Amino acid sequence: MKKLILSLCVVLAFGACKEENKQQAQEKPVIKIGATLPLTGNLSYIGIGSKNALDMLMEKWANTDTKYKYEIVYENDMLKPQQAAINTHKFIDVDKSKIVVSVFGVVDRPVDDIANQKKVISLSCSHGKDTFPEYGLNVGSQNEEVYNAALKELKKRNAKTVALLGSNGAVCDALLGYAAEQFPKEGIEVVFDERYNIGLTDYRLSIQKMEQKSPDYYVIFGVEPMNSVFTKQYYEITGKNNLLSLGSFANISLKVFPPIEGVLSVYMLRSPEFEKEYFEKYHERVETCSSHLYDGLDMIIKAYENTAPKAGEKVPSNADVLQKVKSLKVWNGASGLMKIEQNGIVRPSVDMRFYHDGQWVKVEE
Amino acid sequence: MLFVLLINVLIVGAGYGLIAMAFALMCSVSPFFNLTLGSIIAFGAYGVYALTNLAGLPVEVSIPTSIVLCAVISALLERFVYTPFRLKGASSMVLLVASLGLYTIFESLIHLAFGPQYQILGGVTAQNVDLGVTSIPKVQFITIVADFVVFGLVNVVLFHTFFGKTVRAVNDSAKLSNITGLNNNKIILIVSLLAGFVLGLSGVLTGYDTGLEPTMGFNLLFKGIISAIIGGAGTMAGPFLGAFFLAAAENIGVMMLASEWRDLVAFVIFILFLMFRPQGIFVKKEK
Repeated sequence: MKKLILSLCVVLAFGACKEENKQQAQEKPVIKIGATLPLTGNLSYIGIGSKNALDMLMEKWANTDTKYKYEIVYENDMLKPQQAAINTHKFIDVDKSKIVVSVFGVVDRPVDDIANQKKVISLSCSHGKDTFPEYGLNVGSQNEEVYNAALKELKKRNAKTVALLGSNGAVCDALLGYAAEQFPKEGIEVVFDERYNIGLTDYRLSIQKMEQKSPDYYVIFGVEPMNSVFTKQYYEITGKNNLLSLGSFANISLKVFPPIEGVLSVYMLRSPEFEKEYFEKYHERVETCSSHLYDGLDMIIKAYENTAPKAGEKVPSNADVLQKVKSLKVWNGASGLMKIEQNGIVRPSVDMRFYHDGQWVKVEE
Repeated sequence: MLFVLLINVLIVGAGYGLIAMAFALMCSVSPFFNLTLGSIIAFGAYGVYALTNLAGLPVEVSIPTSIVLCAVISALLERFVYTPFRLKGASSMVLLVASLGLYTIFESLIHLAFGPQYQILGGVTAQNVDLGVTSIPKVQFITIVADFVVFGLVNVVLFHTFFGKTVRAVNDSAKLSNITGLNNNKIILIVSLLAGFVLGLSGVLTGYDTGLEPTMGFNLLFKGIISAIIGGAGTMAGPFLGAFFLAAAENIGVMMLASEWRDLVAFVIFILFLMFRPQGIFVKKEK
């Protein structure tokens, strides 16, 4: 009897092992993605919006017949570079991620550096990125197109003088610096140019200082809530609406105080289909970065699917995957039509909107 | 421009002044850096947010309710947290660490209940008060008035009532006041109730002016503490005037340099005072 039971156990164990081996042979190779996002803190709306969009994308690919299985892991960096670096090391060394995702500004640079050293693809959505790591892919508007959209509108409105005010964060400072250099070349005098610390809620004296220079237009650039608080105080003091925001305003749902009727903002385009799908799923407007990271990861996954692995390898190399992405040249996705450059910058389109009856309406040509 | 600068100093200084006076009031009977005072400021703003924006109550109900709740919370914290610590002979360092722990808990609770986002308070229509050369929003005007009224009331209570005498007695020597039969804990409890009331009011006014977010209390308390130290925390005129001094320095910094110098100016002044005049501008007269 004992012998019978023992033989039965051996047969069952053998069968189980064989079945497991068969399953392993059939299972797709896993491509892991690590996303370090600001999921808490003042700018968490950007991180949560990005996570929502990336989840939507993962769901789309999970319902598609693919060569590889894609898995995403999220970590919170609170938009702190040190935490983003820790998360990136964890993604690459522990989770063995092939792709790391971060947002912008202070966090994407350390993430880029670590990922580049380890030949891992680093996807970000930084505005005005001036570093081009070999393994980097950045989907975000650059200074030129945002400035050009603003310039076109200011010229149309016959503005001769502008005041520039924005936060002293790297992204805002770079764009306003670029604008301060370019406006005079186009015959628009910059009569005021100042930065404030992120988090400031009292702009009254700066507004008064700007008012003394009587600019035709105020060009502002800062993340929320600063943009909204500034606009509220500007309206309280001057009662005017001659404001043009280079971003933030029209691109995110968070508003501390609603914008003033008629103010202008550069708008990062999103496809209506994506906006509709996002709203149906999360009942919220698409945040800045969300559609850009969605498109960036979509491009990378598509490239993985269409790139053949080298002989003896299960998955294609990251260098080959990125080359495939860059060879696309253009991409029509959640952020509309975009140009893909050889340096890893993907440029989404922008246009100009004005605030009217609670909506951002496109300024007609 | 000078008038505008003056108005701005009044607006900013009044905001700092309310907090500085509440801090100095608490310090007069319980001398330690009580960081939960920052939580009380945030409770004031979030109280109105919960009652008006979420529960739909009119501001006439939600604002006083929120302020009274802040006073009650402040007193409860004193009664059930700091008094037991004090009775066990805890040092001011222990009380500071306890308040830091509580502050972190309260901030996390606000995060969980209302989210990390900036919010705005509803229920009132924005109106401006005309000051001739310029006009300012009504809420800022109320902040200035409230600062002066609170200063006046605190002085009346401290220097013209029996309760004020007992507060000053505890301030002079807690041991002596106890020996003479005063109930120190009861006095500290009432003072914490008053401080909670002022901090709640400050939170509501700030919430209406610039919006609210979970860490708002700490940032405001910090400026209030700097004002109190600059002015002299041992007096009541010190924190009141120190707030205007700090606001003036910040605003002159903004006017002469740029907005991004604002905090730098404030902290340089703070460090200079700590180094060369730690007792502040106004010093309590020793009898």
